[in-house]
Amino acid sequence: MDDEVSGSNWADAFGTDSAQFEFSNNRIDALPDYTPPVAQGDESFYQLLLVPYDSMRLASGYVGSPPFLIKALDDTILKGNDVLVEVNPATAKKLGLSNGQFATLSTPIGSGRVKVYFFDGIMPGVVAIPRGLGHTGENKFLAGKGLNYNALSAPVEDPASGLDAAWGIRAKLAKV
Amino acid sequence: MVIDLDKCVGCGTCMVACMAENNVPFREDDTDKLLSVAWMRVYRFTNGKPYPDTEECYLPRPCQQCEGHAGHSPCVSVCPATATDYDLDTGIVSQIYTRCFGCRYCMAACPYHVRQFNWWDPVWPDGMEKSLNPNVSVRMRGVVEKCSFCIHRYQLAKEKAYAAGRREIAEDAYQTACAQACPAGAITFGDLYNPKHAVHQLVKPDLKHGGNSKNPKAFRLLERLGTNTKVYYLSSREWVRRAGDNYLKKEGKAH
Repeated sequence: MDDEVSGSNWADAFGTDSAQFEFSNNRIDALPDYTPPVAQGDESFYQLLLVPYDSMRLASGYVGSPPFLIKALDDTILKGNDVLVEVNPATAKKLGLSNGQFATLSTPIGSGRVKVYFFDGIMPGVVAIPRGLGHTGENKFLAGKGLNYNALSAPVEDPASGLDAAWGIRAKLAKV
Repeated sequence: MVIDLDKCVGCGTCMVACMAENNVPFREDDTDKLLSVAWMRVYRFTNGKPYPDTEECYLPRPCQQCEGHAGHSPCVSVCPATATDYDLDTGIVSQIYTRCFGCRYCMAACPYHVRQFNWWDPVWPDGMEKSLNPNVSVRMRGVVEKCSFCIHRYQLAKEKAYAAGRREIAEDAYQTACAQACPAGAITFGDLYNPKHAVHQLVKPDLKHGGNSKNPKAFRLLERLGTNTKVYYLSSREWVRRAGDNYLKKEGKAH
């Protein structure tokens, strides 16, 4: 029965090198002079990579979530006025962090207080923050809750296209 | 009700539709889920394996409408105020707010955290009271509330059918707000014991064996407690079906 959702049926589903869904096209590496964009920040100090993710229950655009949606958020995304960031348990333990603990998330651009949330599904070495929080206005149900990813991130230039690549920045997660 | 977990993406539309339909209030800080009132709640859980073998699943949880044995639902059995009962005709556990005096025995008895206590009177932002549903009473502080399977919609559909000289309510004449709102079509609603209804065909309930489903993909939450719930879940993933009954390692396999 599980074959329907995983296993041999999926072996030929994607024509990629890994035979799995890939977010980028590996053929781009064959282009002459191509180098992938590197996230801003010194890797020796900012040990993690901060990436944003979209929760289905959080409006991440210009208009913020209405009160019903804020209420429908899991307490693994927002607790009180604090946002939870997803970290792989193995990575967090290396940094001496425990589940539910307050931590300071800092990037070369900014910093803020977050809560640590252990999630097995996140890649080691990565810290993920939901987009759509950190509003300052609109209404009391939305304002002043969590952190705005855009205030922590800065785009770097993609050398191939010359466009801004804003998905990810080096970050440090430390005990408060 | 049948909820297909292979289809559920965890978007929370069912929760929002339910709150809007049933006049469920919200507070400035609703992140303490023990104090927060939500008739429908979508849980997220994983198979517990480390990266990169982690899989996750979302599970919407309305009231499970336990029949138990001959209507002995856990909450109905303990209510000293007779504020809740199991209707053998509809298969719905009721909640009569004006009878409830807030002892919260039912909350302790419910295995599914379905029942919630109003610690505060509801307060809606200015103007929003105009959007309240006139068919559902609002609840005051000090009483317990829970998912009603949109019983007011059943009553309206029944009145309409009777007025038209019919005794049977059509499948599409009575649907819950969550079932109608689900963008993935994961929630199917109808009469479990009516062979013409989609829920019956999906579940194929075995009435000789406590309503257990004959569909190998179907399971109910904590089925072995004998709560005989009216909400069935479908999943093609075995670990999801096992999680539904919280099996210990030494215990038998889920089907």
